[in-house]
Amino acid sequence: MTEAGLLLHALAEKKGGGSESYGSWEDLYRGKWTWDRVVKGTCNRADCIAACSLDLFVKDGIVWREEQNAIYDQTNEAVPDFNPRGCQKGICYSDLMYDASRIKYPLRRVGERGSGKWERISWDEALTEISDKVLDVCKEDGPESIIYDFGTTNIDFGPGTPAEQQLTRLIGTTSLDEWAGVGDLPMGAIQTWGLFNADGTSDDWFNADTILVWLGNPVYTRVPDVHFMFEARYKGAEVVTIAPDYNATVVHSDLWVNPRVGTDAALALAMCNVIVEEGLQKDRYVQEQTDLPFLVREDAGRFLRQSDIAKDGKDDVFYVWDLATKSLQEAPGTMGQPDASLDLGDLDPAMEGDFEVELLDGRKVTVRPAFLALKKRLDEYTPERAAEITGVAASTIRRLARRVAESPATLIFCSWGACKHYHMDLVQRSIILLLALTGNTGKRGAGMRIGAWWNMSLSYDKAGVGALAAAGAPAERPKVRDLENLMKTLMKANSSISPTMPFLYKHDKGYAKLVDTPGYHDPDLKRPISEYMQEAFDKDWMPVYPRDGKSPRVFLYTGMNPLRRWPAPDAIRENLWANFELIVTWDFRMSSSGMYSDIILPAAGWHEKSGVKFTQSYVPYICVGEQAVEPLYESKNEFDIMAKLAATLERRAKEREEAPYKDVFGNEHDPTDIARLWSLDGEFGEGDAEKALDVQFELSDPVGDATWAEAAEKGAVRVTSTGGYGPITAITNEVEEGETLYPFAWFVRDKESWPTLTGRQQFYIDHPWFLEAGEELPTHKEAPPAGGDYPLRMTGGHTRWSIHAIWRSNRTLLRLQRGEPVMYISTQDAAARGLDDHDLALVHNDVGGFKVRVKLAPSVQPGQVVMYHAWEPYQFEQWSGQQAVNPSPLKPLHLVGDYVQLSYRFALAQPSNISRAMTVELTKVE
Amino acid sequence: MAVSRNGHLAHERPRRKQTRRGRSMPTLELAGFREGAYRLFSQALLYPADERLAALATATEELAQDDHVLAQFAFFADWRRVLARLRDVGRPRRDLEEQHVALFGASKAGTLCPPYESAFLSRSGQPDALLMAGIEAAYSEIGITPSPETGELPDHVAIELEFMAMLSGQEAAAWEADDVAGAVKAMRRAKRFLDGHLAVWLPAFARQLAVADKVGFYRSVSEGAAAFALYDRDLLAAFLDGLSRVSEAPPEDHSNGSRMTS
Repeated sequence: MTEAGLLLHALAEKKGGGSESYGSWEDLYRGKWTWDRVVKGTCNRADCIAACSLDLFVKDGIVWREEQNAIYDQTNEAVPDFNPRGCQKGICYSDLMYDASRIKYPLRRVGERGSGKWERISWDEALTEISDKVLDVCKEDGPESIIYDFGTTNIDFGPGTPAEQQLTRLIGTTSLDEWAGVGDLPMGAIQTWGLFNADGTSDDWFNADTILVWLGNPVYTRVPDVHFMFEARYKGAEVVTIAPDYNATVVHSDLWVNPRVGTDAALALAMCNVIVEEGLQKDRYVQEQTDLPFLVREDAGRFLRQSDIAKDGKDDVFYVWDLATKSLQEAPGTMGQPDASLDLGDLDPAMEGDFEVELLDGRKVTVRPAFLALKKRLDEYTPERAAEITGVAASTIRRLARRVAESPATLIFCSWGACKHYHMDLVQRSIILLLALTGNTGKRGAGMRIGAWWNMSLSYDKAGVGALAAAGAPAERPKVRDLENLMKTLMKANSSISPTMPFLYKHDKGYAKLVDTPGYHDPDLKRPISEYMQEAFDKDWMPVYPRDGKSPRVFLYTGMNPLRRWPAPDAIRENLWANFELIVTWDFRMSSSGMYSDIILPAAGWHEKSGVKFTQSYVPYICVGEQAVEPLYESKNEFDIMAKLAATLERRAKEREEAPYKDVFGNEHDPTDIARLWSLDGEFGEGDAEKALDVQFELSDPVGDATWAEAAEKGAVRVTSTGGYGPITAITNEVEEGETLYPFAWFVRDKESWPTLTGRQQFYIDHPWFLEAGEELPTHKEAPPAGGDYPLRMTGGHTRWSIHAIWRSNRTLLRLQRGEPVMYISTQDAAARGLDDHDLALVHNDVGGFKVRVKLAPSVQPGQVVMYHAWEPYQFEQWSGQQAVNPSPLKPLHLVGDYVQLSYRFALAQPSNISRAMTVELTKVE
Repeated sequence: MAVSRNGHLAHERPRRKQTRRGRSMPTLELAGFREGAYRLFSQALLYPADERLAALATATEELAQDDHVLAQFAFFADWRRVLARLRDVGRPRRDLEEQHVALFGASKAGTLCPPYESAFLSRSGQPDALLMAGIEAAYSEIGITPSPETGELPDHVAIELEFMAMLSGQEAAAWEADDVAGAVKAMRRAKRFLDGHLAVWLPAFARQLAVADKVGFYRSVSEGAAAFALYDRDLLAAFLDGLSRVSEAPPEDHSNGSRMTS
């Protein structure tokens, strides 16, 4: 036999020789509590809306355990501190790191997709196969037929995601914009404010006098931050939780308000009704900060525009009636005004009254402030009427409305759960209206809070970003509306980013058929859904690639689990998924989607690479994680994977003598030069992830002068700046030392125009589609029966035991639950169906079905069933999970693209994955 | 101490060495054989790459020629069955590859048969600090540690089996050098590792594989390995017991080979 024969080389000589003390269990036990070193780590690529520094205890190359760090300074003496931060998930990541689901080696599918038949291949073999297919497709159909999906919240603010984006940009792939694909896009906020990623630090919650937790469950989902809410109670704040079910946050609240599922808009509008009826609104705030004084034509229901009354007038200049001069006056700061200022000066805009104006053609029309139309709308929502709709007592509605109006600062925690219902834009618009009427938006300890990020650089290209810096900082901060307009222009000019849900509609016949089902939509819509979709595509409101006549052929995805998340996965698997010729993922764990992929590359786990945690603004720190141990098995960090892939692509392109090809915008891509370009002329390659981090820190304003090395040593560095405005950083306020941070100061304190058509918080949307649907103003509509005519509404939420699917199969955390998927059902609904606790039930509707154990819960409202988030389909029989009943009917109004704030740009203004309030029925499985 | 880099299954030693006192010494051959057998099991449970399969085939033939040393033991019949299965290794290789990934890599809902001691003996099913510290301490005692290049955890079945091969090799080397104390020391270490680790979980691992393995190769290998570990444990127990009776139980680290009889 050969010399290499049967040598494993798995055991090597230990430095320092052997110890002779393989002794008692006491020695071993003592050994358990010793370590070689402690590394500052974090959940490097976790899909969690928090950032926490952890101490990682490392011994013999193994991460034994994590501990929360308490390294955060108190902002000022008047607010509690952040210490410590962490949760039960983060401190058991080392479980997951060594879990059986870990992907150890590059794998290639050898059986049918999903058959579980794999062979182990070398990195070189895997990357060569991927490269060859990518090159084939680029040559034959263009690079836009290669689809890259980087997920959303799983992205790395360290070097991984920038490395991926650098390479896919050089290839020219289509990139999926998953924000709405996850169902996290607050369209109501975008329709009203023109942006949404606006929040502050969580210690600012402590400044609130009234906190409404509305469409969220922070005890489950904001574990490191929620204490600020409850600490606020000790200084007299009232915490009210508005939720159909008696959830974990209710337990810590002063008042529980439990509307029927999906009736929140009616509740908010009834509170607005009380405020207006009782004259509790803040008039000057409303005059300046909202479009409610704007004049609306009685004949057309549209705003009176300059183009209506003046030759060559603009469509984005609007009018108010000035009570001081008793004349028509242009409203300042609208999109058509050169000066982006809301300062009313001496103007005293009328909020009521009928006025007559003469149009260009000589006709005379009556115009009225939009506020009058709003009052009329609010008349439909008296507390008594709302009580019938919502089930909440009229007296409770009045009490709550007065509390909101009279409280010095009212804060509404209205998180992303608010984005997953069909009419959730109407709910958000109603809630924002409530806060605007009471002057609560743009104030310390107040406003609707959704989430925001510090703007860390997602590039390690010093020359590229540095060139911009060399041009010099502008003398004045660019206006938000100008930046938004710039983003729209860039988007149209040179970006093959595609919004996910329209992408699925266009490229998956099975899903499109579900969306087109007439009964699943708002009955106020006048046309078939397919016509709205077609119009949106024809007018390029929704830029979806590849274009007509070409199909997606290769799918590269990471940081996400599409067959767990996308709607009706059974349909998608048979259509779009089946049509992909190659599906590749790089991940550290085997997911349900991974099982249906063709090649899986093993990514290093969180503690096996250096990176930056999700830079959420709740904590005013950038939390980082330093590599604690070498990547396990044959895994590699994402930066190195991309370096190898770029090198392989270039090698194969040269071997195949590939010519340059063009993308859909006419840009030329030379695959024989791709590694040089990716590496920035050889400056970066495999093993240079920390070098990239050095540059990222240098280019990132939020960290000030701090370097990567300093951050890695400390675990976190305090932010000194928001990092400027961007799609995910719409905080629009400055970081001030010693102060908590709240959003929207630029608009409210500084009176800068909002990035909307009217330049204000816009409650009246006079787009024809909105007028046609009766949604020009906030209103309440019942959720359509998406799924068919069934009596129960299936809702959901994130749990405290997992964020998305990552920890769902973790044994440690499963022991804290029932150990398998369960659906919560009220005792009444269960009894009516003959279901006992832990019975197996078939949950079904017209779309599909899945089997699950039921958990009888008196906390759940009759008519509602709760299926908490993100069980892996493989945890169900036939791998049919909770999305199997979800048709995700796109709301056509979210397709509109010719109205300033409604126009699509990355992470903004697009239809969402609607995964809540599906109609279902449960049948006991005998 | 240095790790043997000898590629052979068993060290090249005379078949039956005569001791100074002229007595027969089957222990040397037996230890050498045990080293080879453990290494064979270790390798057979690793991914069936081409080179490894070829080496396994050769090694199987070598061991088949040497297996007369086992003939007097009850395990011999089991051993012959394992060898027969190993002769089929790689036919068809594709099935074996699929099966290896499905059984030991991430498969449907995790790994069907995680090849780690902690999956069977730690309360969480994850690497447990106390358990791993025990394994690391055993390795450390003879001056070895898992090689960083393997990227595997210390409680992987192949690493534990290789460790047993190394202990058997040390024992054989000691017998060859007439270092009875050294041989006894290696045997005691082997017995302790089997008692505390490998022989405890390997049978459970084999049972789990028997349920999951459709092809049968890994089932046979793991059943063979488990049976071998149990036989070896009993053999070591009997041998050490016999030694202690005839030698009035000399202290572990101060035993005097000159007092020993075979």
